[in-house]
Order: sequence, then C-alpha cells, then structure tokens
Amino acid sequence: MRKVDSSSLALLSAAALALPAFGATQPTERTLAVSTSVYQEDDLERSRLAFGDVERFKVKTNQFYVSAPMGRDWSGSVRYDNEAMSGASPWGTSVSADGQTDVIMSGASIDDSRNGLDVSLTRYFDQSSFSVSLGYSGEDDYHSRSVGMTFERDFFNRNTTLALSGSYSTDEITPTDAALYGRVPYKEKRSRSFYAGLTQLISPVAVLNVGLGLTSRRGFLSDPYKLRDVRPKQRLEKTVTASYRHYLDWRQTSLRFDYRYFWDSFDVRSQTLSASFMQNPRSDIAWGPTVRYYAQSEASFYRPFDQYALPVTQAQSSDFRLSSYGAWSYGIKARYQMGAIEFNGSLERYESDEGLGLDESVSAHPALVRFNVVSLGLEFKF
Amino acid sequence: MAMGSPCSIKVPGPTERGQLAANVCIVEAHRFESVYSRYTHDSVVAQINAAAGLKPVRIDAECRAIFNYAAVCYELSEGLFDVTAGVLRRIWTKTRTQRPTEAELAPVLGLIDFNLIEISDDSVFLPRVGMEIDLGGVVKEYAADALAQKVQSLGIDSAVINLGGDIYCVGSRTVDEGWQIGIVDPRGGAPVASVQLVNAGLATSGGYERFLEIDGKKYSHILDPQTGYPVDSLASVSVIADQTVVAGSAATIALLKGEAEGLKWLEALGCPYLAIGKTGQVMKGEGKDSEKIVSSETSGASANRQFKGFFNVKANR
Repeated sequence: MRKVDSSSLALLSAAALALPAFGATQPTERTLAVSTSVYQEDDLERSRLAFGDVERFKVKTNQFYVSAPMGRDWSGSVRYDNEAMSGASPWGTSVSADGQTDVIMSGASIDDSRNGLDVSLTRYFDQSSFSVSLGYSGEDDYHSRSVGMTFERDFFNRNTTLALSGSYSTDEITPTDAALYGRVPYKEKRSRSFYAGLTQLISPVAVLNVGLGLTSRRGFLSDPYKLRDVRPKQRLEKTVTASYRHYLDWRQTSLRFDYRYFWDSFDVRSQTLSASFMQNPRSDIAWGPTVRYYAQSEASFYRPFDQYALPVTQAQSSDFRLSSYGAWSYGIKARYQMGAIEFNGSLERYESDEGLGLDESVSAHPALVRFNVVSLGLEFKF
Repeated sequence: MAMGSPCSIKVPGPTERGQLAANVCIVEAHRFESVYSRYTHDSVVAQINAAAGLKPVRIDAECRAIFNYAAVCYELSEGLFDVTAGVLRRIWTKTRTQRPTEAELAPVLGLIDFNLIEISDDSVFLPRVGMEIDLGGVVKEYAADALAQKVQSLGIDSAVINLGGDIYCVGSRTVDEGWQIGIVDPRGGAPVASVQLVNAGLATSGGYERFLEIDGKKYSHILDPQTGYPVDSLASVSVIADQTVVAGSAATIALLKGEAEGLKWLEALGCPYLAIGKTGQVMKGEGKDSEKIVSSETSGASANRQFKGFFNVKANR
C-alpha cells in the first residue's frame, strides 16, 4: 500500500502547478504601445557663453512596442524607437576674465537622428523564465549592438524571485567632420554588464527588491566632440539598488521608494533617492507625483577648465556630467483606462546644481542642465 | 451560473474594478464549461466520450495537463479517484428501487479503469465502447485557481473567487485581515466553522446531501469505482491548500476512502481540514503549514454573526 504523507501533497501540488494557469508569468495578452516624448533643455545663460549657441538640446522620441505570447511557453517582444536631436552641445570650457567658467558651445547645427531596435524572446518554464535579447542602435556617427540574457526563478510559492542577467555590447564611434575639426576618425568601446537581483514579497502589501550591478567598459570612453577630453580606457562601475513598494487602503494607493548607490573607477560616487505615489481615485484613473534626488562626487580627473598645457595622454575632462553636482526632479504621472486602451502621460522637471553635489564645490558649472520632459502614450491590450 | 453551480467573485473597492474582474471571470468560467462539461455536446469531454472505442480525440496542452493531474490523483488514491467512474451513474439512477447486484455491476465496472485510457501528448482515446470520463471533479476547482490567476493578471490583488463552493482567496481582504469564509454543515443549519484565508484555496466535498434511498436505507452518492457500491464515508470534508484544485482532490479522496481511512489520509497529507462525520461530529486538522489560516473558529453565535456578507459554503458534490 502506498504510504501517504506530506510528500503526497507535494506530488499533488507539483501536478497542479503543471496546469497552465499556474505558469502564468507568461503574458496571455498581446500588447501594443506607442508613445511620444519631448525632452527640452533650458537655454544656456548667455553671460556664461564663450562661443557658440545658447540653444541646447531638444530630443523628440517616438517609441513603438509590441509583445505577444507565442504558443504556450514562449513570448516575444519588439521595441523600436526613433529620436530626433537638435540644438547645441558643450564643446568645452574656458576661464573667463572674472575667474568663472565659461562654456564653449557648438553651433546649433547639430541635427541628428537615432534609430533603435530591440528584439527579445522569452521561454517560460514552471518556476522560471529565460530570455535572450538583441539590440541595435544607430546614428550617423554611432552604432551600438548588444546582446543580453536574463534568467528569472521563483521560489517559495512565488514569494521570492531571483533575477540574473548579463549583457554585452560593442559601440563604434565615427565622429562627423572628423578631419575638419581634428577629431578621432574611428573608435570602439565594449561593455559587459552583470546584474543579480532578489525580489521578496514581505506581506500581501509590501514588496522589496535589492540588486547588485557590475559594468565594465573598455575602449574609447572620451567624448570625441569636446576640444580636450581624455578619459581612462577602462571604467568599472558598481551599483547597489533597493526598492520598496507598499500598497495602502485596499490597494488603491501605492507608494514606491527607490535607492541607488553607484561608485566607479573614475572615483565618481553617486546616490539617487526617488519616491512616487500613485492613487486610483476611480478604477479607470490613476495619477500621482514623483520626486527624485540625485547627488554625485566629481571624477578624479575632472577639471573645471580645459587645460591645453597638459600632455594629451593625461586624463582630463570638463564634462559637467563628471563634476560634483546634484539634482532634483519632480513630476506627475497619470493614466486613464478606456476599455482595452490605456492613455498615459507624464510631465517632469529636472534641475541640477553644483551646490547639491557630494563634494565641496570648487566652482559653478554653467553647463549643468535643467530640462523638461513631456510624454504621452497609449497602450492597447488584446 | 456556470458549471452547474452558482458562482461569484468578490473584489473590495470601487465597483468598476470588481465588475471588470467579474466580467472576465464569467467569460473564463463559461470557457471552462464549454470545453470540459459532460453535458454540452461539443465539449472536448463529450467528444472523447462519443469517440470511445472508435478513435482518439485531439486535446490541447491544458487538457493534457488536466489528465496528468488526474493521473496523479488516481495513483495517490490507489485507484479510488478515477475520472472514468462516472459510468456508475447508469446503475445508481434516481429512480432505482433495488440495490444493484454484482452481476448487474460487473459490465459497468469493466468500463472503469483510468489505466485503460490511452493518453498521448495531443490525443486521448477511450479504448472500450461505453467508457466515459468526467473531469468535473478536477476542472471546477482548477477553474477557481485559473480565474484567480486571471484576476491577478488584471492587477487585482484582493478577491474571492467562489465557483459553487470551490473557493480561492486572492490576497487578503484588508491589510491585516484575511478573507473570512464560513463552512456550513451540508445537512443545513448554522455554519460550523469560520476560517480566514490569504492566498489559499478551499474546497468542500460532501457525500450526504445527495443520496439514494433504497428499501429505507440511505446510500451516499460517493461510489467506490472498484466495487461499484456507495462508500460509507464522511458527511463532508473541507480542505485548505495552496491551490483549490489540490484542496478539492484531497477532499474527494478523503470521502472515497471512507471515514476512518479518510481522516488518516487528511492527517497524513498535512493540509488544514474540517470534516463532518456521519453523526454530525466535527473533526479538524490544523495542518503542517497553517499560515494560510489567519484564524479559525468553530461554531457558536460569534462565527454565525461574522458570516454575514460572506460566503456560506455548502457541500456541492
């Protein structure tokens, strides 16, 4: 006679979990989404302009996304995006008569577009999934190809999910007008990234996620458009992330907090804290504010002014993104559901300032950006 | 109504949200009914039965997984849980006035054996003319689980799916309160227990609320597929498990095993259960993993009061 014990329950449960409803991490609906957004940087302060145009970057982005289940165990998705960029970008800095930093800008002639395509394929198993993705991004002067893999595994009745992913990309840079401006004609860089994350359901209303990331970049990491920008040929970046999501009053309201700590071999350290709040006043409407704080320290080779007297092999950069600065951004998101179609939109304002940086700031960097992003989208499930 | 039973879904909060989930559940419940019911002519079950002894019928992956599940139940119950046992209803009809003889039962018993079914990856064949399958004992409970998954995929993480007493509780009712479910004595009267469930399934199997009376003796409708005779079983068994389908088959197997063996089976399985004996005595097991039950309270006026507005579960088989 067969011995009945808790292993019988395990057998029954395993057979039950093989029923298709429980393999339900696989999407059961097709999703089609389109969105458009406009990113507009504020003009540069005219008094801090040494040369060029005050009108800074504007990027219009259109995105198209489709995902669909394929058979019982597979799903696939394709994302295409197109960006049109215009405006001027900083070429470098110089010291003004009053000892301040002035910015040398390009003319407003930059007019470029970028096209990106990402294709991913996922295979679902009982308790896990495995996906492979291929990506391509191309501009006149920049081509990037990437391949990535992600493995996810559920544990403890899906209360815990482990995610492991890795990716590899190769980028080719062929700066425009290289001969005219004395830019490098062709350079490459390669990046490898690894990520391990754990998501834990703490209670029916609380979800915690922690992750560790490692990215190694090798090759040409400088900005070929700047007059003098020499960066090390390797960069190792490490990140620790944590996010916590909490649902309040009958799941009508959710709170989300995210924290990210970043440090790298350029000696840049940064931290990001963000919080968002989403409310469903009605079943078809959701909206809420978001706020984000960011602060970083400067790179070891950051110089407020370009130093042409230094040997060309010595690392230096006046890129404001490598300076000590911080930023606040705040915005609002909203969604409206009408049948199978969801309309969504968001507004965001970002303001960076050297006074918010992690280091004692040596001097103001007038090129630090302030921008607005407006985006609108719709998503259709069928 | 779907699958021959009253069904309901309860979602806290705004009614539109609940309505959307309910609409999805209704469509999905009707799909299960149209695919697996014995009574609709174009269901896959009806096709398999009609083709018994003639030809295999194509099945999809979901149906295949249900057969696999039924096979595990068959094996664990040592042949008691057998989806081919429904043919016994031909003998035990409502109009019956005499206890059937063994000679009468023998040809029907020859049609009962799960092992005879020829199951391949994409087809099922009943090799003997007259064989029948009934997946009702698996599909209704599985449908509660499937609907719960569907509701969750819509972003609703708090709901109760009740398919005629086979219940799945998605999430909890409030942050610190599970869904309160009352368990009713199948022979009527006040609820005998109340449990609070979080992400758990509850199924009830009863033997005594439908019965046959022959020569003054009551026979339960729980039939032993090996002897063809009714089992002298528990009046009702309710089981709580991570999946409603597991709870349902655990409860059904307990009934099929008869009172003493049934209770042993439930204890050994380690799921929380509540069983009502033939004489009305209530027996409970907390199970090895009782975290699904936030609280349980047996009988009394307080349990009765708490049931207002919640489900009163009656044995429905």
